[in-house]
Amino acid sequence: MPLKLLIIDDEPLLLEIWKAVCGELNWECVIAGGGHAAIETLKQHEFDLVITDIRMPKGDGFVVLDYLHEHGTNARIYVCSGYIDDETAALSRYNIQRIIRKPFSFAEELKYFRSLDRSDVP
Amino acid sequence: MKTLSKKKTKQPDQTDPSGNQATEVGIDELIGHPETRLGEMIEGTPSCLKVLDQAGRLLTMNAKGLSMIEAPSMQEVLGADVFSLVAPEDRQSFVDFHNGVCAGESGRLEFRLVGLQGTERLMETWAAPYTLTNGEVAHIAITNDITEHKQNLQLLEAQRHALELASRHAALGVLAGGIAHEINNPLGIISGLAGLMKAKLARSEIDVEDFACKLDQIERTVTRISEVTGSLRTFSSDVPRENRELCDLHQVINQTFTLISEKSKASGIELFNEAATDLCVEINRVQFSQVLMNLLTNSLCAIEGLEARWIRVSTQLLGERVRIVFADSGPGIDQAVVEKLMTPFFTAKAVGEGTGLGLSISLGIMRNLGGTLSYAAESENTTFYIELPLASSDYASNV
Repeated sequence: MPLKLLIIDDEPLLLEIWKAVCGELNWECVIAGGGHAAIETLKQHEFDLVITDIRMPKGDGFVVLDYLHEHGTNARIYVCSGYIDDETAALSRYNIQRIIRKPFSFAEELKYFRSLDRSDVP
Repeated sequence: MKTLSKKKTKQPDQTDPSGNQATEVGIDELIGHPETRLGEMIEGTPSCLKVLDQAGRLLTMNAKGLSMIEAPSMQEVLGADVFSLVAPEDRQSFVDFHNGVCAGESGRLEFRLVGLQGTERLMETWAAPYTLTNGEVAHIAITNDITEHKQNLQLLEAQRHALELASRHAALGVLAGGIAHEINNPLGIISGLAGLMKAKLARSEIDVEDFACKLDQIERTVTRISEVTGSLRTFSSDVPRENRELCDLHQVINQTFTLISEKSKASGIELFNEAATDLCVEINRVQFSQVLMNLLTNSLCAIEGLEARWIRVSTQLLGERVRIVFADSGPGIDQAVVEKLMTPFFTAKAVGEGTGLGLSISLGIMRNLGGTLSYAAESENTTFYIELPLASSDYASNV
């Protein structure tokens, strides 16, 4: 069964790129343009991996992190952001497995995900 | 030819040391005899007073003037060519000014004087035509040494400029994180699109239409980044305040919005630029952007915790001027705060968060641009008015 990812970012083009990454990996990809939309999706679906941006106009990353924290999740949580230096302290309160800094390399990310043993991503 | 006698100043001999009798002493007795009184007054005047003939020769000069040109006595310089005392770079403008005065014009001129001992002074002269007894129209002037005054002004100006620059840099410091985000996000897009294309190339999966579309997206994203760096450059550059250019008002507002957009996005604040798109003003772009930035950062700070969060900039035409209405979703400012709003070092922000200089610097900038900055107390929401003269339509059509 393919892994199921939720990608949250307010940049439509970045969502397209993540979709393409998932396409390369044959993973299932669901996208959300902001935190509020992501929560609606999370209410209805289980995911193996959630990758969220932090600064977004329609519900920021913390909205998502709080939701996952309160409701509990089996998903791994990655943060993908252009600048998190101001948020490091706030992020440390959550169980975040990985921080991806923008700009990231498409090839490197692909390599990283491929190298993951399936058991690494529950 | 008219010359003034140089009599020594006499002490009046009727004065009572207590001053009690002063009102009973005649004015003639207090300041000398009528025929010599004026001469004495001229001689004692703490400004240079001089008369030049049409050829620019010195006909007379009082004691203060002689000390300024470093002449030992009037005899030494009677008939001397005054033009040669003017520094070479200012000589032509002095000659032109002199000719104007002898042709009947009055006026003011600043010029550099080089004394007979070589001391250079910056002078300000007020001159008027003066008819000599032979009917020739000569040049009479009161001239003052403004070297020190000018240096103080320049120092003050340099300090004000440094303060403005420091304030801009402080504003950028606050925004640095947001700006990094604003650049890294599109860089992420470029990097991602390039990686995607490479992955496809590696599999020889070349869809020309798809590639062309991605390259277009990359180009557009590069433009987006260059707008951010352009705004940054504009905002942080150290340009002299007299550098004014014709600017499209809407565009300047947009540029400033670009710098703040990430921070406002992070706080869920919506920015609306509703300024008319056909307004042209002659401003120093950097300084004007600083005024907007000060208002924007104040607003961001004030409305962050409110339910409704927006900032709206619109324009109204007031004849030859434009009023920029800068409003945010805040409920207005307390009367007690309004009174001190433009006072330097007054801040309503927490200790360490505000310098208290933003609005006072902004006010100074707007006055310098021939405009105004005021708080619109009658408005429902927190509103400031910025007023500026519009550039003439001839100008505007050339932009």
